[in-house]
Amino acid sequence: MAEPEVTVRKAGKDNVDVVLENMDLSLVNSMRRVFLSEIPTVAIDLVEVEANTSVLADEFLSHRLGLIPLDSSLANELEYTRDCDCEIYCDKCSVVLTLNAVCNTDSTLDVYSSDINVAVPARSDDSIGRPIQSSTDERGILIARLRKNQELRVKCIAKKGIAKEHAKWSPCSGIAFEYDPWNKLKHTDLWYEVDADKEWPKSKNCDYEEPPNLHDKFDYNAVPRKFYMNVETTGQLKPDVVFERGIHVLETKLAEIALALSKAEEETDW
Amino acid sequence: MNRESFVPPSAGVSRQNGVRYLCASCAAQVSLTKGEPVRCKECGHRVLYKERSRRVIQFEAR
Repeated sequence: MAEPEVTVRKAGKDNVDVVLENMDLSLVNSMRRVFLSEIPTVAIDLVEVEANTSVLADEFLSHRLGLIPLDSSLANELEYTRDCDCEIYCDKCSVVLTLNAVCNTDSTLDVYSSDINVAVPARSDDSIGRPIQSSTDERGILIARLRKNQELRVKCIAKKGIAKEHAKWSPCSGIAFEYDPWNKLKHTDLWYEVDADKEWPKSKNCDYEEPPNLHDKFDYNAVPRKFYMNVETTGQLKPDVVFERGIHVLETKLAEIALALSKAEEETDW
Repeated sequence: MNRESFVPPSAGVSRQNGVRYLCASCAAQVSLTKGEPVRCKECGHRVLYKERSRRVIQFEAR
């Protein structure tokens, strides 16, 4: 089989469009699944509410805070809380963030994710756990709005986790995945009124492949070989880092299986 | 907050003078004990709000 080929069609700040060739469908699909749900990131997991006189309920606010994307480029330096030897949380397995806001003016005060401060910058690099901002001049995500004399005093504990546990840990907001845009392999059965070819819009990726020849016989042994993938991140990780770490996670899983199999082989005598 | 330091909210009630409420109409502080009619002692309004705990409350952000 030919060597796998990767073509980057478009690369942006938080999304990348790639074409993968000479790879197996199962491999590319496992990459997609790992990117979506198994790359460790950092997200707010515990919220200690000291004061909340806003109109929003504590639980509502906690949920909102949990979904805020935090910088996770250094997530690997952090321990999982379940593996850590501390009782609830410590510096090794968590990042503490604080949010303090009081409205003193007659107009409403908007509280944004950029108002959250990383409480203990005791680490080598203080980027970990910082709320993501798409540009320096914007204030981030709107968390709550306060009326005069309303107050918000919250301590948040951000932890490392994966999206299998909760979607807030997913570094990807979405992954577009396509193969065989002409449906030559007949993996899809398109619904139609009269004629499927006329009623269904053509994929953009059709330009990258030969249209089907009507006189050709159907090839029962054909397998998909070219995959179109668009990875869109939430900003927690850069798209190239998602690829790097995702492949690393996949490699680790395969290594674990290989190790377990070789052990099982040693232990059993057929 | 420690797991051991948790005190069930009902533990302190009997020693104090009942549960503290705020009147929905005049915002006066009202404290009620068991069996007392739910009524503001200042204005007689029958809607009372329970006061928020002064303890820190912890939530899971999920």
